[in-house]
Amino acid sequence: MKFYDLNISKPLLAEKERQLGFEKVVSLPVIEGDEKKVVGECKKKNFALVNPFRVKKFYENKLLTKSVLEGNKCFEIPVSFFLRLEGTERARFMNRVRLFLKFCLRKKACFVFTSRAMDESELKTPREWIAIGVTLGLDYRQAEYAFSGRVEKLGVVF
Amino acid sequence: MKIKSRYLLIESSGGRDLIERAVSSFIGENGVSEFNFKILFQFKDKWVAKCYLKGLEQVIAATALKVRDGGNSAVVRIVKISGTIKALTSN
Repeated sequence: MKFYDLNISKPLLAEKERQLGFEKVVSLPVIEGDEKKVVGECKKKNFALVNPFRVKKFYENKLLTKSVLEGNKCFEIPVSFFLRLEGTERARFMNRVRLFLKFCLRKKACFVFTSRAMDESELKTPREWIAIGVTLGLDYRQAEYAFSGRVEKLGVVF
Repeated sequence: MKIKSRYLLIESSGGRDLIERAVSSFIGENGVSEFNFKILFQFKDKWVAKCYLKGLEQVIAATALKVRDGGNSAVVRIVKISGTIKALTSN
C-alpha cells in the first residue's frame, strides 16, 4: 500500500516524512476561508484541496459539500490541526470533524488526510494517521483509503 | 473467554509518566480500564505496554496526538506492535 501526503506546510520536512513511510509528499493549493469564498473558488477549473474548517457549521453545510462535489474538488483533513489543540478544545473539534466525515460519506464527497506539518513533532507515520482516522469514526479501510487509494484516484500526484 | 491483546513497544521522550499521561488524557480512566492498558517494563530505552486489541487504535491515536507536555515538545511513538512479547523484543 502506498501512502501520499498532499499538503505539507514546510517542504523541507518532505524527506523526513518520506522516511516515515510516505511514497510521495507534495504541497497542493488549498482553498480556505468563509463559505462565500470557498463556494466561489470551487467553481474554478484547476484542482485544489478545500479546507472546510473556517466555514461556519462546516459539519452540516450542504452548500459547501455540493459546491465541492460539483467543482470536482476534494476536502482536506489536516492531521496537525488535531495536534495543535488540547483537552476539551480538541474533543469539541474532533466531534465536529467526526460529524463532517459522516456527512461526507453520506453525500459521497471526497476527502483526504494531509499533514500540514510545521515541525518534526507534527510528522506522523501512516499507521498513526489510520488510528486518528479510526478515532474520527471511520473504519480501518476507510481511514487507509483517505490517503492512499483516494489520492491515486484523484490522479494529482503523478 | 480469552480476550485478544497486543503488546506495544513505545518510545517516549518523557519516560513512563509521559506515556501514561498521553493515554489517560486522551482515552480517560474509563478507557484505560476498558482496554486494560498497562505499561509492563522497560526494554532498552523503550517501554513495553499491553492493551486489548479492541483498544489498539485508541492507544495509537493517544500516543500520536501527544506532541506537547507542559509547554515543551514531547515525543511518544509506537515503534512496534506484536501479539507476543518474544516477537516484540526480538529484532
